[in-house]
Amino acid sequence: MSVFKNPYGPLALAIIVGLFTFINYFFTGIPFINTGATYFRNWTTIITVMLFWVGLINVVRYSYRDIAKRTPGRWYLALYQIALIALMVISGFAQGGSASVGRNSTSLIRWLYDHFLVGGSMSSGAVSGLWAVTAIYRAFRARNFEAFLFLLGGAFVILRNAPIGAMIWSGFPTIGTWIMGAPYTGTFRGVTIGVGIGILAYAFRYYVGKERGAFGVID
Amino acid sequence: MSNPLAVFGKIPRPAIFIIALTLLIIPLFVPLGLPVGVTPFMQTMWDAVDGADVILFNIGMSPGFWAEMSLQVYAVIQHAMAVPDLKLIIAPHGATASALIQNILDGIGLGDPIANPLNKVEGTDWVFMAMIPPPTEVAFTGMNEDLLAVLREDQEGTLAADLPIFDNIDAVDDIDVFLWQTGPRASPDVATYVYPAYPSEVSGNPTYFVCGIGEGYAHVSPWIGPGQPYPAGMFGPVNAAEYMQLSLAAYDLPLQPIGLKVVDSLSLFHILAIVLMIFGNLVILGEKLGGKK
Repeated sequence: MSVFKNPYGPLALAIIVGLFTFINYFFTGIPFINTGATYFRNWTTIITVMLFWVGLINVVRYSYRDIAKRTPGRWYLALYQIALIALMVISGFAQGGSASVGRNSTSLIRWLYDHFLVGGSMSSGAVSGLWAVTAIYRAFRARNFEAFLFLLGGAFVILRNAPIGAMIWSGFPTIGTWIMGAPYTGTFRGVTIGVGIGILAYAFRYYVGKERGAFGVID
Repeated sequence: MSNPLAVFGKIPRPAIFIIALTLLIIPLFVPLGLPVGVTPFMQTMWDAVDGADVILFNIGMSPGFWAEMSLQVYAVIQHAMAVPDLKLIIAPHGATASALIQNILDGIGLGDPIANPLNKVEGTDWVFMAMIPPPTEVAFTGMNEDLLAVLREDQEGTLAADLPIFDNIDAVDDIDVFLWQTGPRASPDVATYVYPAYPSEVSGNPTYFVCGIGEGYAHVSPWIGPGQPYPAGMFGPVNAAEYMQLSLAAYDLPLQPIGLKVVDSLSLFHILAIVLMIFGNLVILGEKLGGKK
């Protein structure tokens, strides 16, 4: 078996790295652990950059598959996507570095960023607001007592989040703030703590080698 | 028996879209001037910025959140530029933030360098640092260990060590207010990365604020209590508008912020949401009155 296909190497590496960061968080004053944890943490930046490449390769692979198979209704969009990706990558490399998107940049990638990505992303965000308001219309209906409580809470928070709520009645922001501060926060904290304990248990199993599915090891 | 109020449940989606768009657009052309109150949270944050000597404004904005977050950045930078003797360090996290901040600076300043009432000097009074690569947790941890290793150079490529603004700033403790503007992860958790290991230690200097798109998650961290470093945060455009109100009242700022018009739109949009909720429930009421199951 190729050393690159052996899952136990990456598993061992993950356990070592995980243990360093885990111990460093809960026990201070161990210089060796602290240094190691800092070192491993800095790997994250490099790994994050590498993940961009993994994402790029995956997108191109899937798009290429659609193009090669002439998938109806998709192949030309896949082609368009690859063309745009190529344009962004090439224009990025043409100038390179953070300067390509930074201050006073007149680079092609900055122009593409401002006129394609920013506009497109803003439009997506704005459209989601419109969908939200139609969803409120259809979903916030008091068909039972629980749904009534849900819509009542939602209404107070909505009226608290816009200045006009206070203009209508000064009690709206007060009640909305109480809903956010007491029931919502209390409930969510409970969920957060529960999730944290669960992650801790999972991490412990992972560190002792009981969770190996991510590396293709199925017991 | 038929439902006499069923008509309220049959508003077509395109009609809702058209009404919503109309309500959003009208205030941009005809400002309604609806009053914007100031919540204690925003007053706390504004006071902290106003009384600070050094602010590190970390911005992790992406285009999808432009509508909410650009106003926040706009509000804080405009305020900071109006406060005498306040040093402002703008740190973009990721390439998207870097480009968007420049757009905001252009918007505030009507050109480059940004127009400011006190003629603050770039590099001495304020600085726009080069992009800090993700992930943020690593960047913040790095700031705790060696601030100038992360804030290495400005957008022009000048090393931080050569910039006058950093003459007395070389550690996180030299910063009075640490602002972290982010999207969905508007969480105080990241404060634990800026400071030594335990959250209890973050209650010291500097004061920590979050700017984000929603306050929900920011409240939930169990370890953030009274007196902790997360006394306030700026959430959504309404808080940004509140912040702008405070700045306008205190300083003779050169520009009328667009934020207040946006908040008029927001108010109308929220009223539409409430009206639609009422309409939707009239259908339920009609079903009850009509005996329909």
